[in-house]
Amino acid sequence: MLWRLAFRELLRSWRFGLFFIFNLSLGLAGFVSLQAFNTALEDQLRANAKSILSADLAVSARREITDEEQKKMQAVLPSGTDQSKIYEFFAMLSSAKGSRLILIKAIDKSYPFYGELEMKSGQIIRYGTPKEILSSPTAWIYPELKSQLGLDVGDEIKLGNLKLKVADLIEKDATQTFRAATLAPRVFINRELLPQSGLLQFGSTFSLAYLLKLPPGVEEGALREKLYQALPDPQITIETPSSAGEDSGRQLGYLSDYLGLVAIIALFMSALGAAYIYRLFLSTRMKEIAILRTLGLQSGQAVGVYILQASMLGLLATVPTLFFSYLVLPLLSQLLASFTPFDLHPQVNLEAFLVCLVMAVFGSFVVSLPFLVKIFDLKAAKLFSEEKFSVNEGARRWWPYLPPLVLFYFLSVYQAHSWMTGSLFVASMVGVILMLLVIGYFTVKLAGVLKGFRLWFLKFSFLSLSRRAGASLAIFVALGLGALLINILPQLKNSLQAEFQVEGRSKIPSLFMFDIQDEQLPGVEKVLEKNHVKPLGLSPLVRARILKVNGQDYERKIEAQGFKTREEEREARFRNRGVNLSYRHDLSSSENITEGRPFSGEFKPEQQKYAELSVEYRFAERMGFQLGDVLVFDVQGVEVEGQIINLRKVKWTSFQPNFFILVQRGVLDEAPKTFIAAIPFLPEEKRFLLQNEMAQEFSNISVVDVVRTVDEVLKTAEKMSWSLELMAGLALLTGYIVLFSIVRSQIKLRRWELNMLKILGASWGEVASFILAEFAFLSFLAALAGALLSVLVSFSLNAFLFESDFKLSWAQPLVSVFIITCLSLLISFLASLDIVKESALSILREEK
Amino acid sequence: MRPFLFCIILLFSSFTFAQKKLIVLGDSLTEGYGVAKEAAYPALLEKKLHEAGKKEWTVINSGVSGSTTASAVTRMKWLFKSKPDAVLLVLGANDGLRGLKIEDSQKHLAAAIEYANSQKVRVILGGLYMPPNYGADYTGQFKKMYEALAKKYKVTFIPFILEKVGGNPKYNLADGIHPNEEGHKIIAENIFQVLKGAL
Repeated sequence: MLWRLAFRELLRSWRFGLFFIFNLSLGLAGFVSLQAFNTALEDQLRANAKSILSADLAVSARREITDEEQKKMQAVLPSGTDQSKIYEFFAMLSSAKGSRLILIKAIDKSYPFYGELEMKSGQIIRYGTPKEILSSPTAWIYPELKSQLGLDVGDEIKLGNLKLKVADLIEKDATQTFRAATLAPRVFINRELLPQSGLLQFGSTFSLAYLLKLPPGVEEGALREKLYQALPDPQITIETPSSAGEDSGRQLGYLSDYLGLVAIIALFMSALGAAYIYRLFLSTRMKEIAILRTLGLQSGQAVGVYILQASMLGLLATVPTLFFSYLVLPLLSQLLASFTPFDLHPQVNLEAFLVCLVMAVFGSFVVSLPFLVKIFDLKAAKLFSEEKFSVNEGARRWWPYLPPLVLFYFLSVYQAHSWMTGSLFVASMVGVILMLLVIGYFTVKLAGVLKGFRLWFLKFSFLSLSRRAGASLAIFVALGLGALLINILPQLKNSLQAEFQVEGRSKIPSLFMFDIQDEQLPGVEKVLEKNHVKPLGLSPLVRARILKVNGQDYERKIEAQGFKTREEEREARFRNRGVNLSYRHDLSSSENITEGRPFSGEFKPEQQKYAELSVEYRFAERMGFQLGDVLVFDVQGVEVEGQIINLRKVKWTSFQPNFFILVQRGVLDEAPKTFIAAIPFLPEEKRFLLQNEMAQEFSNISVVDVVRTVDEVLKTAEKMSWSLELMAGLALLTGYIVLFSIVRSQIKLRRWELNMLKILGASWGEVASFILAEFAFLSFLAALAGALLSVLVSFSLNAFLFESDFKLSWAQPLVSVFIITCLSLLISFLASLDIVKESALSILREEK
Repeated sequence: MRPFLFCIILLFSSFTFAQKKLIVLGDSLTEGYGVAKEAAYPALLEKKLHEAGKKEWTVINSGVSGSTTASAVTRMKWLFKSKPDAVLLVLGANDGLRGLKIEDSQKHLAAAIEYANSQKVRVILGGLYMPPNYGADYTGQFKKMYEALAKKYKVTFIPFILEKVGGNPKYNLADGIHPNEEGHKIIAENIFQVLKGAL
């Protein structure tokens, strides 16, 4: 019976049904589009990470994996796992043109599972590409060997007992990272030739990796844990693309958290739209419910009818949502591809569709539960009253707020893939809604006390606002929340983008020189001066061990029974590794103090008990160091005491040599040290000349060319920056669409009232002014409150999630206040035009 | 007075009460990369010498991770301010691992030995081998470099301080290069076997 009733009534009010579906699908389409872009971006980031590892999972060790370990590993791997075994090690390459240190990468036919190698010949080596080095005694070499030794295609090289011809030069290697920019250029050879080379035998130092390509659906993290249990030796490392530890890893983490926030905001936006429209739906149906109740329908049954109706409409709203998304997404991605570095292919995935379905079918009525339970308070007597029905009557209950809170909490955690982000966001939203309610309450009260208007419609407009306090408060909170959600992402974007900004190519190093001895420094400076090169930085490096922190031993000693866990051992090894200290007068432009004060200047032994120390804040966090802690160092046999006076943050895109611990000048100046020099960007030819000159004059100084790897990192940084821009932009667009649908729904609710004004003889101008004044007041104050609160929320999210410097920009929130107010006014104006055009009788019939 | 200088003078003057001093001039192998300072072989060697009755000897760990033979003379000039009696020179691993020219490394080590001789500090030379993956030519020349220096300067020579440790995963950290606590014990024993009669 309920089904029939619900269906029949829907058919009867089909125009309202269409309106509901249209508005709801607008909000949902925004959610689905954002979600599709989010997934596409995440997929691309994951693909980048996978191409660095060239696998889904890598099991590696600096030794052979024993037969027994192999058996254990195979037992854990899911069936259908593809495997590739590669070796990496340093060796000396000799040729007729000279010899030098290289890094051999011995591969097999499966390499690489992900990523690619771009060859000078134009060939692209991917998974499954036939490889010349596997079918003939040849090798691929890095182009540095051409510039340094003059080696080229066809030349013969000797690696141990192995004689190979150079088949091609590797122009671009997706697996090389900034960190892996080593002292030696890579040479790729066939793994099966290794026994012939005689290079790998007892005592050889090498890295062996089993690269794994997992069948679809296998969760890498869970498999990693299983493998760690099966292979407990700490010498075996198991890496997933996300744990591979690229330099930009922290920033990738930030981006991932940001995308998580985008997903939650999209969810809240669509829920806000859905809830508001559903509330409208209920308020227009109160009269029918009262009639049904006088005819003997129970309250529970009445609620059932409207739940069914809303669910049916919600279900129908997903059809235009999907249609719109399929139509618009390819166009949008094409448009973006023309001015961003992305080649994204956003698609509506099953996950987004299911969340959209849950939102449409269940979400809207769960969110509207506080309104829905009002049906129980509905009195049939109201039917005979002249008042219009309202959903804001009856007893106040708190429990109906609980299900939407629980639902949104779990959906938020699910969307963000993080308990912390989800919890933090929901908590701040609850806080913000409460604040908006308070601000809204006073705003509505204020409207009631505003007096002294000469024009009657202005007076009437403000009185009407305070008389319908409940409805006014609802639109205030909805608009305020919309303004808030719209502004969070752009605010956070501004702060996060600063992390990816690069100071300009001229300030980024192209070469690093290290192991410069104290007495070699004048000579090195002379060579650089002769070549008209001014180093970006020349940092002294003093090796030391931390002995004590606040009087407690810092180093970890091995217990009689050994280390209990892998983590314990890793931590101990990290602590016992020693530290590189440096000193300088001031912090560099890529560093800023997060806590504490700058150095006071040169060390003054007569005034200072301890040397001043500046510690990188993440290192301090890992080691548990605090401001004011006293550290005792062993600087090559001499104990030096220092106190932490500041914690500092280092910007990774500067690529400058940075140190965990900096010591005040005048303390270590005379300690044994070496120097690291960072050389600014130089043209290729000049770089090679400088490298050769340095090698001839100072044989011990190693010069590493980082141009190629820096370029790759910069491209990633640019992509990340664009991702933030793109998602913030899309969120803004979606937000405005949702707000559009909210204001439109609100206006629809007022049609009857506006029509009455028309019937009573008000001119179109007066009707329009009445509604415009009301919306101008409400939307401006709501948007202003939301935008201001967004600064607070963004600041907190930034502090808790991203720990980056908050960059406050007033322009964005103020522009959004202007747009929201204008949007509301435009919709109100159009609605008043409609009402003038339509027959008064038809509106009366439709509404009553 | 600058604190580093101040400390070093204090420390060095305190050493004058100890009768004899051995400085171990080395790299990360000596520094004890990844293990506690007391677990690194210089500390273990001192313990062994004391247990063997040579209580007059103090062993000073002057290992610097990443250092090459090029740093030897400068560091000696600094460290010799404390007037040591002997120096155990264990440098060269980083030269080899970085593929530096052997003749340059040999030149730097020779200069270090000559400087120590000029300062009347007894030199003990710790030899190192390069792993076989560097090829027979390079590893062969590298090994010969130490033998030639030992012969030329007639210094006490430990042919391979990593004997039984190098290449054995059981005695090395996960990086396969740096010895673990057990590895350091063996190194200390290898050196002790030569020094117990020589010192």
